Amino acid sequence: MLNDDRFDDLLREAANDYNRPPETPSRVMWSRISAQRAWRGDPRPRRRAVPVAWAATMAASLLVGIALGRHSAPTLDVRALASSGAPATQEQDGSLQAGRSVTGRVDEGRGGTPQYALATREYVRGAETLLVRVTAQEQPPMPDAVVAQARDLLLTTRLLLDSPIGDDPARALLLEDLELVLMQVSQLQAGNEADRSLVTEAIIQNGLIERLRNAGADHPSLVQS
Amino acid sequence: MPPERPTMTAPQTLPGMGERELIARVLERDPLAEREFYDLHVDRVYRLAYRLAGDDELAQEFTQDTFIRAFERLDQFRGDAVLATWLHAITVSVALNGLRKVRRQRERETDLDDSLALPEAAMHARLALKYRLARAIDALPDQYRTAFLMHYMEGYSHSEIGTVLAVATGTSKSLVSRACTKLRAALADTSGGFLC
Repeated sequence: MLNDDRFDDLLREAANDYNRPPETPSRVMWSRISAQRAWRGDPRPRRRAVPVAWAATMAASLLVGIALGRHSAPTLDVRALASSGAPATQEQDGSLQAGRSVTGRVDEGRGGTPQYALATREYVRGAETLLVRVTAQEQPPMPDAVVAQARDLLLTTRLLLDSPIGDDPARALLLEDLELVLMQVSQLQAGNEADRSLVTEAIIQNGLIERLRNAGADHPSLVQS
Repeated sequence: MPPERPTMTAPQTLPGMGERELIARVLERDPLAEREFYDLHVDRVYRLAYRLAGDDELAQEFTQDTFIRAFERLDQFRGDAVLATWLHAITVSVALNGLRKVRRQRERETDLDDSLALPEAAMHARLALKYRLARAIDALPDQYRTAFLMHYMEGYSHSEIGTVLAVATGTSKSLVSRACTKLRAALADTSGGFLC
């Protein structure tokens, strides 16, 4: 029989080893929570079965996208600008910015390039325009060009999330919300208005258009620390 | 003598923002506040869910359900408990209900594991004992196991456990004590020299 001291020692050891949690997968879970909350907000019960399965597919795709995004080298304007040695800019207008280069190298103390500032502004404007088109009631079905644009923006979003910009919680939050919606848009199929309405709802519930407008204008709080 | 509890620090809101203000902003559906609320609490919620589930996929599912419920029901939080404790009560409820649903499947998996387990004699004695202890913890009744895990492994006080499980502080102590007794009984055939 174990004596008390040995048993207590054993319990302490077990406390360290029993079901020891790994690092919290915070970002992945937040993406799923956001998606599920968007679907749960849908008041039309007959459509619930579809979005649940769809959301699971989206989440899986998101994970794959994250994995791929970290190991791939997309040839985007923003990346080209940054990898050419141009540091990110500290903009005065409150749009997306970084104190370090997009490739992750610290470039503190150096000025940014106008090209990078322009690229980030164009990203914000492009995303806003796309979201407005998606939510527009009067233009079904979804044009293929919008889906293609969503794919392009999705790559840029991932690039920005993996850059030092993604280290800032406020910017990361906006980009993550955008990433999820862009991914959903990029997988929309022509004529599937049920899925489109769910995407629209997610955009509205997350206030994405307004937040993007703030990000691109003189309201830096949502993207600037 | 109870084991030393690991030091735990309560989640802190960002400078300048109190818990009430954060809750108010979350109730107004401020997306930044929602994320802040999540970031403040997700680590402990996930840790607790993982301790109970022992499985990353389940722990993620329980954590997600916890926050979804919390966002839906935050208006029902009266403030008579610490927000974290209220949240952990949801976590425990979600996790225990979820585990009940998968219990049958898990029991089948356990049987399979048993058939594949290394013979005890072939394992290092200490490792074998820890393995048996882990199995004994798995076999504890839900309330005993939950109280034991929260106290020994996540550093909750008996007062916090009492609030989470909706029992008196003294009852929490009893639950942990009885859990230890059951674990000791489960290892009763182990000789004292087995540890060394």
